[in-house]
Amino acid sequence: MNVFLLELRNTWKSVFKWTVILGIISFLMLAFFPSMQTESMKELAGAKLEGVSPELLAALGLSKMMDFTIITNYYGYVLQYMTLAVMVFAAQLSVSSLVKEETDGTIEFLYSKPISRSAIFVQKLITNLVSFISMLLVLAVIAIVGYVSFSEYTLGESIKEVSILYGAILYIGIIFMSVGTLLSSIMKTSKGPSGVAIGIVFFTFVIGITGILNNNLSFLSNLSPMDWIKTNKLMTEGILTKEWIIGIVTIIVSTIAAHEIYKRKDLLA
Amino acid sequence: MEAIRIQNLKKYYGKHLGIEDVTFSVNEGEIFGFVGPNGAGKSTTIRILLNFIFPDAGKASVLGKDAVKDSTAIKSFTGYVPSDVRFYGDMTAGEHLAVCSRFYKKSNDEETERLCQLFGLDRTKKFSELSMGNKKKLAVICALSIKPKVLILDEPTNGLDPMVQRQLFSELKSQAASGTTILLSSHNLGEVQEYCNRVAFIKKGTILSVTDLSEKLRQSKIITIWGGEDEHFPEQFQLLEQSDNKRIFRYEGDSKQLLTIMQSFDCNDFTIENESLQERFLELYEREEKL
Repeated sequence: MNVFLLELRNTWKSVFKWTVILGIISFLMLAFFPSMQTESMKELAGAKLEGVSPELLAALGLSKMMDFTIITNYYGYVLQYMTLAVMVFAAQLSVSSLVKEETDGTIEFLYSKPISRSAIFVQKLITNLVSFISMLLVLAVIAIVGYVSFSEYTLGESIKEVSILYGAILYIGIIFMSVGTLLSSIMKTSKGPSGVAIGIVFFTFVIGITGILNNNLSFLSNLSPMDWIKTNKLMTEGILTKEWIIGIVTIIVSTIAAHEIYKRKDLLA
Repeated sequence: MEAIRIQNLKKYYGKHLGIEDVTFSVNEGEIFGFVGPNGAGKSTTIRILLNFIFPDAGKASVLGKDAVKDSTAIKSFTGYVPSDVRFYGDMTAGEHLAVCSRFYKKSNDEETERLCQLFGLDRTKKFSELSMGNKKKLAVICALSIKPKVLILDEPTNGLDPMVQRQLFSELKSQAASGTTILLSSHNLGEVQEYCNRVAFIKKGTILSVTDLSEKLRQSKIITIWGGEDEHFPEQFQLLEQSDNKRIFRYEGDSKQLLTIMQSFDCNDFTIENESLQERFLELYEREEKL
């Protein structure tokens, strides 16, 4: 597990920074929840939602019935925007993972050691997964503490609700990571991994919104993992079978393709 | 026995030529020089040997193991010093050495310690804080600490001061004496001539010549003759250059016989020198330019 440890050592600072920032935002948002439960806020939110068209509400992941005095409705709504940031992180982590060392030239250090490219690939993948899961675990724990502190949910109820939300984020995060890894294996230089990562995430986000706003293009929602986990739908319908199939096929195909490309890739000086 | 065998190796980077039909071999325990101008194909050949890149055609093997199929096995007994050392910037030299040793089954702490003492490497400094010379020292220690059977060095003396260069070559000679095969790519013809048994000259991706430095070059003389325009020179005299009343020849043959021949010439003046690798190099490359 040499490459795993080396990779962990080289990425933990970035993972730590993202986790701290997102953790603080998450906790502050949850701390704001008790003020949502006042009558005046309830009326204000209701009035605002009444004035918005159903299509736009759907695009924003809301419904007219949305009751923000329920913490999962409130936190789930906030979380969908945090999820965008988490997905950018996941995609960036994976887009950088293979090509960055090639651009920096540090990969020669590994390539000159008795370890196969497949082993390097797998260990880098595991590192990304471990980093991502660690981040989500910390964020989930913060959310559970927030639920227990700022709502009437018990610890058991909080764990159950937060697990559904973060479990779904983990699933779509792995999809973005697999696509990011595929791009990383194809790319010739790591210049601008953040741009590529933001591009992947926002592209799928925008086509999801397009699918909601235009009935003729509703099939596009199937290609937008962010749409699969909008809180309302997630808590009522869960992730649909077709969404599992699309996601798992994407993960498998992207990962296998990335591995095959990486194994045969010339290391350009 | 051949330790490194390269047969008809070919590599193009898109439309650009990397190497074309490169063939040579390196014997076990030999220090083999690999010489050529920038972009000639030295690094491409080495990178194929180490499976950093894949050949378009041809084969390369190290101790009988295929460079593509058995690359992991090759790296278990091969040390490599890159021309441009790019390791992890925020890791110390000591951490690099520790990571390096974890890739190999046998622990080589004693050897690492000996080499650090020999080259005077400060292991506490981060890689990004090391000078170019110290970065090279670190790469050399990483490569030697595994007690390799084969050592591949790509311009190893770049950035090293003359003292360390001497230590490095003394160490390489002792490694070769104990059976390590060394492939040394270099621009420094002096060091190649002094330490290598044989040398391959490469230009524009093609091997021009493989020369045995231990015999042929040492027997080879460069003769400069002024005057004697009417003289008929024997076949052993290979004309290299001619200008006004001066002619430069290469002579490969018996020295006593050469003196006898020279005594019989009617010329104004002459000099006899041992041929240096530099002259061989320039002659080969200029001849190719004319072609």
